Amino acid sequence: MIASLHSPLATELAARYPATHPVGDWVRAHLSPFGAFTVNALLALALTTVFVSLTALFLVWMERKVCARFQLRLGPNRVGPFGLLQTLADGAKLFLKESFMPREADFFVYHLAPLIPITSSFMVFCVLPFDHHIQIADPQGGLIYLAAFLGMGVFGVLLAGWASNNKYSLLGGMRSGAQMIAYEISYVLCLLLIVLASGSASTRDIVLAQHGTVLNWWLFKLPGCGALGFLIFLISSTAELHRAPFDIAEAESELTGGFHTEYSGMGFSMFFLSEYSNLFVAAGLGTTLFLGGFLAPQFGLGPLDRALDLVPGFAWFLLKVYGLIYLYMWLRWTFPRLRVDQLMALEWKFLLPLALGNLAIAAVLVTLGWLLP
Amino acid sequence: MSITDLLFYADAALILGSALLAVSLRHVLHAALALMMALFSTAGLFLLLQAEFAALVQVLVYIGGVVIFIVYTILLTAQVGDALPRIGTAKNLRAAAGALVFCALLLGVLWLGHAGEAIADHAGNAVLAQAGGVKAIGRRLLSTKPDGFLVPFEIISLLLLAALVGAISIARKPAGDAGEAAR
Repeated sequence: MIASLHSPLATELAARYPATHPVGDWVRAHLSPFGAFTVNALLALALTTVFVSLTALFLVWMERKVCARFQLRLGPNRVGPFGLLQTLADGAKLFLKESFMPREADFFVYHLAPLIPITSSFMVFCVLPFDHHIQIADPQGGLIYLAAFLGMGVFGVLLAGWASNNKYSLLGGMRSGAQMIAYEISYVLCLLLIVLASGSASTRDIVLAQHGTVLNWWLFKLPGCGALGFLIFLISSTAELHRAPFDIAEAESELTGGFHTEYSGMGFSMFFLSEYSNLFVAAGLGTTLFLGGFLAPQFGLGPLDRALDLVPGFAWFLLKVYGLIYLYMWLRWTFPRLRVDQLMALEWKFLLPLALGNLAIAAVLVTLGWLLP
Repeated sequence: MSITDLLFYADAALILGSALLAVSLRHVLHAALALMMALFSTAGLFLLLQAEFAALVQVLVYIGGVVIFIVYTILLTAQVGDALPRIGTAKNLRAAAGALVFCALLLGVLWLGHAGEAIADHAGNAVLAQAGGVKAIGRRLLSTKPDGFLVPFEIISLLLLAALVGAISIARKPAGDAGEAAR
């Protein structure tokens, strides 16, 4: 736990995990402050765009492969090695498709809606610490920022559902709006649990607060509370992503796709892209908050620890993130869809009281200083 | 003119423009979106003043809370697709006069109290930014010392709880209509 910004431990951690990247330092050394700021920001934007696109392409392929394995099929295996280029081919097809709009739809809102979820996803990418020196921004109120921009995604769904002027779309949009607003409460309570435990809202500080052995990850600390918090986080983030078993917003068999029924071509691919980049964001957030982020797992065994520490931080981050993503996919292809009333009862009558009680107990534990199991 | 000034004027133009749209657009949902834009640009203004916490809370509370519920309410009402009836000139004039009086009041306070100079002096002040930082605000909000805000904070949360319970008890149907309510 980082008690204060000036404690010896915090200084040691800051020296061991420098916050600035050599490339950024080089730009800052060779340009004026304003020029360096502009160049670094543009560089970060370009990298994020490339990374998000590639990740989404890969995740769509991975989802199809995982789904196929769960259903004893092979999945895409014709285009490229292991079917890896299948998504690229699908993307090219979507790009070339005509993007048409229902006649009575609201032109402005109809075209605005697909841009909102992907924007909020990009905004959240900015504060994810991929490594100690690979993070675009580290605001003091990082988790408030996260809560603010994660909540904005619901606009896209609500507006798309309304603007399509289709009763199935509107129903899907309203369902998913109610679902996202409800589950956001327990989601944010989980963020609050971590702020309480690590004494900071900055994502970088939260990761550094978990340094040490594996048992120092917040998942295992605060006896029971950390693990319960992770479980609540997993359930509510699945609902936020509207993935099965919480996919009543799309419910292909009842609502013919829900809010994006009337979208085709690029509008549809924007929703699709944001769905998978949000999956990465949710897994990245879970990794940062509960699984030690970019820190290498340490087991208190000298040589093994040193060997694990040689692997760069972003490799650990990506490994943990893909582990979590696999868990999300596993859940999706295992559980059947919940009914609307079951969904609401689960949040308001079970998860919310549980998250509140967990937070209260964690507050007592933190005050007493009982952080370790 | 520095970059900060340029950003300020651009942001202020955005706020004023979208606020004007929010009150003049005849479609309720479009007006709500314009309101969202105005509130979002206000967060930008807070950022220019280095008040990070205020900016983040502005986005969290106004965009993530207030505007979402406004949009939700609009979607739940019947005639979402229709434009609102045109408002008469007399009503518009009265509203404009009210806005002008309020504007004059604000300008008067700024000029008479020399607050304008104080704001200009403090903009970009690092010490002030530290005082407006997330950590400092968090400490002071829950501090029991004389300069802390623990008691008002708790009173406000009680007030909000009372409002919540009150809203539920108003929205709830009387016990006799239980069958109808369940339907």
